[in-house]
Amino acid sequence: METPKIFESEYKFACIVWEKEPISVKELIKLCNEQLEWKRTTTYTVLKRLCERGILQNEDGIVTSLYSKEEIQYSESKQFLDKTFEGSLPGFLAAFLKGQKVSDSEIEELRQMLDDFKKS
Amino acid sequence: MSITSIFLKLLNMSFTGACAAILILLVRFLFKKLPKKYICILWTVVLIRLLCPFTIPTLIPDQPDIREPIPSNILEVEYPSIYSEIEIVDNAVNHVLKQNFVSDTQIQFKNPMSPLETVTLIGAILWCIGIAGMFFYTIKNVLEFQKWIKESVPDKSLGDRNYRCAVSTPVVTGFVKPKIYLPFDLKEPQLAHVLMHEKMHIKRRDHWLKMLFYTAVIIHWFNPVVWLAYRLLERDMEMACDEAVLEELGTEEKTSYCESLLNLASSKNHLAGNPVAFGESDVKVRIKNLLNYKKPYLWISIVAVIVIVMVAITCLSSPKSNKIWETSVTAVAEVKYPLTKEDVEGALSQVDLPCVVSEEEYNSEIRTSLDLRDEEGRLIAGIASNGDGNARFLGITLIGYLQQGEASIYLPEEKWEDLIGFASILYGFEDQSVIYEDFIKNFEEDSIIMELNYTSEPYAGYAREYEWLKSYGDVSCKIEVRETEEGIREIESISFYNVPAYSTVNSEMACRNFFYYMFTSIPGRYASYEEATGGKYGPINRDEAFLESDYSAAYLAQYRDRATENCLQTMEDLGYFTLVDYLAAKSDAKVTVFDAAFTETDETKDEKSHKLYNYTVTLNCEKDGQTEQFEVKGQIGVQLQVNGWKVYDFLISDTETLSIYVTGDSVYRQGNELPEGLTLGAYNVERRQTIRLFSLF
Repeated sequence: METPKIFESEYKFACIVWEKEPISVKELIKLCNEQLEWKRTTTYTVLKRLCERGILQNEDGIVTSLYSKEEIQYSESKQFLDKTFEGSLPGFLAAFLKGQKVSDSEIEELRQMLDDFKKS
Repeated sequence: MSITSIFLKLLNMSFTGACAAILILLVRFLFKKLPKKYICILWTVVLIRLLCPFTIPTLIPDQPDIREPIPSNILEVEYPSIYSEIEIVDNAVNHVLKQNFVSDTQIQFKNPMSPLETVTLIGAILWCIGIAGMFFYTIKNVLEFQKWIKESVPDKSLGDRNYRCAVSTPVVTGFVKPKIYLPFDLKEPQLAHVLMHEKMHIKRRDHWLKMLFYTAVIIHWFNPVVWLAYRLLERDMEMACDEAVLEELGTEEKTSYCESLLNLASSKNHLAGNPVAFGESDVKVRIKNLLNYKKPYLWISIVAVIVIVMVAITCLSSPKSNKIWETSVTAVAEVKYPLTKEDVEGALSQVDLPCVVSEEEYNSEIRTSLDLRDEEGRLIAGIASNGDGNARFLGITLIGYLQQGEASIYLPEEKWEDLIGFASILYGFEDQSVIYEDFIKNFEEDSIIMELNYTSEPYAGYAREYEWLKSYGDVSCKIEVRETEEGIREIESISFYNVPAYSTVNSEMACRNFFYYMFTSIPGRYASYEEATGGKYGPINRDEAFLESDYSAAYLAQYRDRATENCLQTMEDLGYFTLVDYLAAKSDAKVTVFDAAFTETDETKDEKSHKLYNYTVTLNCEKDGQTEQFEVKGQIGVQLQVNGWKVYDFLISDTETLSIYVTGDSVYRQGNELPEGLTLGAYNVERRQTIRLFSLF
């Protein structure tokens, strides 16, 4: 069986579980609120998701892990998440890079420009 | 404030805001080297213009300003037009307005809402729908984004209020306590640069300006210039922020900062893989801007401040609003009637006026005014010819705009004398200089519409009004008499009823003139008012004559007596007589009006809600040294319609008999019996005869 993937936020969450397991859900919510500034609902959502993927298990309000920290495959979720992110970014928020994408040729041109600038 | 007036105000704000934005675009283009922070200040000026409905009153005389093109009273005036000072826009819009929306008082009489009001209302509703759409779209985005960042985790290594999250580009959110969200994979050396950049945004309050400008975009959603301005503001803001970061980093870091920008952009691009949109990308613009950036010299900053102050004054301190100016001057003159095309053209040829009169104007049946238009057909002046041409009052109207008490009249000032000359020639008014003086005074007193009344010499000719009124058959009048402390009976008020409504001025004047006619110059008897009054009452000022109320019963009786002696035949020839005259003639007695009174009843005559009035007219009958008093009683119905004008429909009810009450001896006799010692021949008025009230006199 392939090792399940775990993404960044989930990883931070799972780290708390690995450190404190076995841990009650109530305790977990409290810790997540302190360390991750998460709301109760967010903790529930992520916990449920990781249980469904078979990484954690929740038995009668006690959470334990099914894989150790070393076994798990850490993955970057960006590509997966990026597709819908731009569309829902409210127009008035200050984003670092927004709007048009840059083409490869343009990147080349800009690199050239920077190199020229450095030389001069 | 109604939704239409709010919408019109908004259109003005949108227009002036767009003009301000275009001005900034020009400054932006001309001063490319200007540090971007100054451009951002200029965008703030645009923002104020878009969101603030008020402007500061003009500070400097003759300074450039951006005018509100739509006059605030556009829905109320007869000739709506706009005035943006952009000739193409004005011509196009005003052509449409002229073709479709010149308000016709006849139509308005029936329809409470003019076509222009309807169109404005539809526009206002669409505008509201657009705002609602934009608003809900934004709310939806915010909620989705909230959900997106819910699973973010704080990154304590970067300090407070910094979070890691599954975003593709760093984002700042929050109005009062902003938070920075960074992608998980953002690492040094870019991380330091990005963090500096975002913190600089917060320090510069960029997220506030952006949020406010976004509000402006929602409100002005239909205005493409506002959208463009928003897009450019975003860009300028980033560049200003980059510049500020560079100031802190020092120029040595310039290339490494640019590389950070480029690396982030290329990694993002690689992942997203979207095609390039039009124009240069933001990254390219930003990198180019940074490479060219030099710490500004002092003189550049000075120039920038001067430019900002100038632009701000231009954009923010323009006149408050426009008003269409329809001013008028009124004079009394004898009028030739009917006016022909030859008369008008003849008068026009004697003056130098850049005006034309349209063919429609000559053909119109009820000519209450003569419209003068310029070559493009724009209405520039009007001359009131007082209805059917019986006018003795001359009204001159100039069309234009009023801004902060200053009138911009289409007709150049040096032509005003020609206009008055033209009107004077046309209507035979001789004393042009007096009209002109008052006309000028009118402007100085800064009143939108002012009427000036001239005291004229008395003249004969009331007969004309009489003829005119008579042609409308049912016109009647009500006279109220009161007794003063000295025991003199005076006419308190005179009202006319059933006067044709289509021309108020004309009707009113006709009624007034008719009043004089009734009491002074019975046809064939007196050549003039002066003769009728024996010079006793001096020249008439039409308005004051009513205020003075010096027409005592004795005074009236004096003329009544003289009239009855000779004029019965004339009156009968005209198909018109007074009851008094009739009674006097037939009875060989001297009959005078002693008193007349009307009392309102609670009854109504019919479904048209005629209100019924009881009237009592007391007559003095004198014969062979004996005096008896008669009372004539009856009922009349009144209908009131109010639509700016008072329209009376005054009917005498179907009185079975005119009952004559004999008073004086405290003996009341009803019916057709004659008082003793009097042989009145015709007190028994025919049954079911409709009697005009003025016949009683």
